[in-house]
Amino acid sequence: MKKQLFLLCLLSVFGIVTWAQNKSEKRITIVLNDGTFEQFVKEAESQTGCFFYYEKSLLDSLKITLQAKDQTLTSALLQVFKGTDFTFSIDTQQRVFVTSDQAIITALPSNLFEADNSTADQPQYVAPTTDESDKLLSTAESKTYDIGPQRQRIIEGKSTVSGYVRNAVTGEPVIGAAVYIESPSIGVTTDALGFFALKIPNGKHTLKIKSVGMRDTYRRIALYGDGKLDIQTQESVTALKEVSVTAGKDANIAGTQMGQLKLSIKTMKQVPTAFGETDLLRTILTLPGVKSASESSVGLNVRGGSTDQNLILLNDAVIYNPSHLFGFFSAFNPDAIKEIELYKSTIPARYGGRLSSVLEINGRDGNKKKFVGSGGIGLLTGRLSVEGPIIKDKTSFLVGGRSTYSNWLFRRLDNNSFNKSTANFYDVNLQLSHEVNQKNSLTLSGYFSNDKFKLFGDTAYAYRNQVGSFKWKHTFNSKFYGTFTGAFSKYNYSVGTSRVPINAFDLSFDIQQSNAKLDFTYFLHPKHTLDVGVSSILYKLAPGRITPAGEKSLILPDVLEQEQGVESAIYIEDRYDVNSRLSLSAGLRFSTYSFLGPKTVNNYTAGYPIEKIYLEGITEYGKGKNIRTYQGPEYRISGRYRLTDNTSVKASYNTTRQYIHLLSNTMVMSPTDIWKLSDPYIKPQLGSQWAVGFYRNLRGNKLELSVEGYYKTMRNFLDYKGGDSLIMNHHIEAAVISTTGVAYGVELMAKKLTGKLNGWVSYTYARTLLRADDRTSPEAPNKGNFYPSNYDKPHDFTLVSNYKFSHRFSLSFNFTYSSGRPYTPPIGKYVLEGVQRIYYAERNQYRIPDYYRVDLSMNVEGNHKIKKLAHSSWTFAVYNLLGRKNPSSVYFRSQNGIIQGYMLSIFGRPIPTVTYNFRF
Amino acid sequence: MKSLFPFIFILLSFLVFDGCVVPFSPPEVSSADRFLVVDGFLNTNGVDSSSIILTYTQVVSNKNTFGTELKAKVTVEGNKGSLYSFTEIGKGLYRLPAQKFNPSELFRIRIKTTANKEYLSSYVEVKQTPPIESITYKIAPDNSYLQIFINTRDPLNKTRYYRWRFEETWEYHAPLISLYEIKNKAIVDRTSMINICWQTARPSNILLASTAKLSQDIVNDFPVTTVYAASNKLLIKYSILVKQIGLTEDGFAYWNSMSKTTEKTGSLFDPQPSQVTGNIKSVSNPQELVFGYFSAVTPQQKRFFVPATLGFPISCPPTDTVSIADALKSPDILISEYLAEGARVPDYIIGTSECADCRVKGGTTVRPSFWQ
Repeated sequence: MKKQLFLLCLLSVFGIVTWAQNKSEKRITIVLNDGTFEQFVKEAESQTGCFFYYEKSLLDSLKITLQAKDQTLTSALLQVFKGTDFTFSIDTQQRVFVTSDQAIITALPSNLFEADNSTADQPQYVAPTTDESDKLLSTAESKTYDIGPQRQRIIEGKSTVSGYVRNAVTGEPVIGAAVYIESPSIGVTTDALGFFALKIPNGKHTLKIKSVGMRDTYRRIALYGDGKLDIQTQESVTALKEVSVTAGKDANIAGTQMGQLKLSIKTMKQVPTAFGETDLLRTILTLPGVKSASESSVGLNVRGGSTDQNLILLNDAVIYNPSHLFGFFSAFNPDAIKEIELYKSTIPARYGGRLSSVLEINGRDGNKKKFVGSGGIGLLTGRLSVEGPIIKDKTSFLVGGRSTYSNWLFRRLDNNSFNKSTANFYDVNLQLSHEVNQKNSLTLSGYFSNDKFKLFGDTAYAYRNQVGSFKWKHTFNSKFYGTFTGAFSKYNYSVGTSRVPINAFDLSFDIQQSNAKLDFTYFLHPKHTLDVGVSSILYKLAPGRITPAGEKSLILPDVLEQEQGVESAIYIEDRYDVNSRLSLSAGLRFSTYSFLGPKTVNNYTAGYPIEKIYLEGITEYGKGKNIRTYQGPEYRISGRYRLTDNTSVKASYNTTRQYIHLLSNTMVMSPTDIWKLSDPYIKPQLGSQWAVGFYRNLRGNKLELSVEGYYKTMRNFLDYKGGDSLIMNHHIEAAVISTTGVAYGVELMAKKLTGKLNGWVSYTYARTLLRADDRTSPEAPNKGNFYPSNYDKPHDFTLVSNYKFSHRFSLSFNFTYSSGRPYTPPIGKYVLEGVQRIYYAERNQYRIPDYYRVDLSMNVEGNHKIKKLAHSSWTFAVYNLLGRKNPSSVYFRSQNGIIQGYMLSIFGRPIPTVTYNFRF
Repeated sequence: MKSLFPFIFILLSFLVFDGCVVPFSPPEVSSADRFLVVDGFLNTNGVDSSSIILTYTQVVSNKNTFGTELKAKVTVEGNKGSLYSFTEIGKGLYRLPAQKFNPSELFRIRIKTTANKEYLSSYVEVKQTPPIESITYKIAPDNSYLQIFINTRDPLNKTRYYRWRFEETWEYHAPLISLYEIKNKAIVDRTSMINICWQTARPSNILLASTAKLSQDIVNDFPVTTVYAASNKLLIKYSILVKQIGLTEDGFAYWNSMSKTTEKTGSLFDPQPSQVTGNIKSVSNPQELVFGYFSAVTPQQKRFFVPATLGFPISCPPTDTVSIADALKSPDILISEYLAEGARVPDYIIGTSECADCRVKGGTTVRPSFWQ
């Protein structure tokens, strides 16, 4: 108590006058007969609004007899303490400090700081940039930093303190760290470059910094005016299985964001997967609201959206195909990733172009202090990455690579057809970051992935992603900063066969996009943060080219005409903290898209369905000619109301537009699916989502509980009509059918972030239903009524848990249950004109058996001696421990005129894996 | 796309040692439900009779013959009061003799089953079909196949929607000519030859075209079928009978969906199938499935003999030359006598039935009446 009192005194030293000088003092009327001091305080506090600070144990023996009528508090107190050792003082904020012997001086001599108003220079605190900082860190917390032009007296008002939060060891920015003061409660989180700007009242404060995987720290500051403060934080303990799921320990309560999930690479590493390798997308699939059509696919269906409705960004560059090996692996090297963030409900206005979600993958900056490397050897893949400074503390690099040795395994097989088969993939990550000066920083990143398969020495499939991005961040002043991003993404695939010379061909598909964007953040006011920006994307799409391979080939060459389009957007978003309970965020994004020439567009007879038989000539458009423009606003509105410190409710409304579509006629996402730009016939997809949520944190934010419900609509969503091929189709608009989708669901989640036992449990009830837009069309499935989508799995339960026995040994246990995927079985046959025909049940009205799986993994770290060659760890895992033959799909084949059904289970047996990881 | 599937599967089975496929029985949802199938149309050409076949659907796994509806009452009613009753021939077949119809009248079919269920189609117009103008063919540059095309036109521009069915008949010869046969354990001269056969096939694929988007109702070079040289159908003589049926727009939509959803099997990478029902509904329960599409048409047909041959004769040597005693025991067919030098009784050259009996390949030795 005494200590507190002392601290309080210290903090309230400024702007306080002594009781003696206080003229407008409150008056009280009180009668006490042998009463306690506590009774007096209770009465006095209620009448005057003052607040008393005193040591209870010292005053509990004091008996008071007092008759005061409309007296000042001062005179009443003088009577109370008459004849005792107790003394008191009252400051301007109506706080009464009771002490024995010595009264607290609540004000300084009034003329002490009057002089010296002229220190106009702006001495700024700059964090040390050398190794000294390590030493300083321990003392950083005990020191008080002066921010802004130092004066003798603090001027009333508010100022902005801004700077970067960095990892003290690697120099990497700490993203999403919460920087806040508690009284009054004002806080921000750092952006992708670790930057923060906080506008708070001038005076002394304790700035607290909390973030994922970093030790909580604080800085004492004396804020005189606008100024800079860079903060270095240390990683929490050793880099063992540290549990860290979300940023800002009470972010789920305090933020306005809904349906936002953040996972650090450390969390992802403890989720067991089929091939032992840390798999980013498979980990995301354990989160509520994220599903996949099949166990074999990492195509994400977020809250009922299709796999093409996710904006997957690797350092702000779009990844078109995020998987290796036909969807079995995600295409991201875990060593090159820092963290991921998934937005499935409230999508910030700075993102657009996809309907369902944004998956932001942040690559890791290289170590700015020293050269280090890491790697791993698993069942099918090996990986290695190296990082280090180019210019110490200024420039760093990280290069990571990963490859499979399945080819080598194939060649070991006796079977001849396997011998001729090859399966090969690799990916390379590169990240360069350079800090030009305090106000400018640059990041350059590149990504390349390549997949190659050959089937029995015949048909060869290959696909690759080529992605690069450049980011320049400029801080104009402590309240205003901007980021320029330029990015390029290219995805292409090719299929070739050469077994039969006359039929040999090469087929290729290519899509590329170049985009540039400018984002600005302006800390307008302590209660308002403004985000504005513009962006533009140029798409170029070569939908297909088939060429004969070899001189003997009789294949006729055919080329589908290139498509191009421009998508531009402008946005503004304001985060407004109305008061400590209510916080709102409103964003408006306006996007416009133009389908551009040169292009030959098919015409169809007006009033008839878009079918090949109604084809009626063509129209040719010249280069750069605007063929069709679509545009419209997107609203991003969310609000949070804090019921108590650890409970809040949130609601949000989001609309989104998507101008690019993935056309697929397969159940699971395939690398040879066709991307298609919106054109005069294929309209942009429109989405809207309403969501409400209830959040409660228990046990000091250690346990997070949340319930979120959503209702979502999707318009102009394309479904494959059937009958036609999608590949090399000159009338692709006639091969698809436009549908309207409705998705709704409830997601329950409990997360425990700290402690020996950690993980999450979630239950989701979700439905996704589709309906043809042209309900009377004979093509319309289920007579134009709603039918479940291919990935409609109503019930889903997931448990992800990790128990740390010691710093060196931990055990992970996963359990997943979900309803079976829907399918359409043939249910009968009949004869018409002498031919047997089959009829089917209504689309997707039946379900394959339910799915459940148990995984177990064990992680053993090497010893923790600081001076040793390499730091290593072993992961032993068993995927599908119970060996359940979970059906992945069912299909039907006609054999000898009889229709036979088959059920395919992919991982139908326990799969043990061993992975060795090392760091040096 | 289809070809990806086995690859993924094999890759998987290797990777995880046990990606497995087990038989799966779809739920027997309609084991109790048998739905009526109405197969046939009202032939309004005034020359031919009309046939309607009433059968029932059955579950996919059922291998028995399809159930038929016997003793039903089948009538066709016109919207101007005319009424025609079909008579039952047997096995679910109902027939109406050829007669004149009012071409401006709309017709519908009414079926009353013995279970006292009543089915009624929507009214359909009498669709006239113009005659087939010509049937042409083109031989591939490398002689590997031959393609047959159809040309037709409606000077009144009224038909617009077409469906074709065809049957192909070809003559083929066994490479070896059998001159003897065994009758009553004795070798005698063959009375009916078995080296020349005719075979007929009726492919089931649905052929559709529309001229709705054209200024004139002309179908030019519509590909009916492709005959490969390797099939040996073109070796001697090949004939095709094409039946042309004019469709209403609604009827066209029906056959179009039928083509898209039933000419594929339901494998993993095939399109999602959908329900195709026609224009016949149960009177008491409109939700009940009824298959088939009722129409009133005047089909036209044309036969065409391809005046070209393609392919190479198969060489098929005799298997042996054996004595009479062995020849009588042999399962093979006797081709001809062989009198070795100085021998008094002939030996017999024998050949396999595949080489000597053309009926083995499915044809018949009966010359079709139309054969030229």
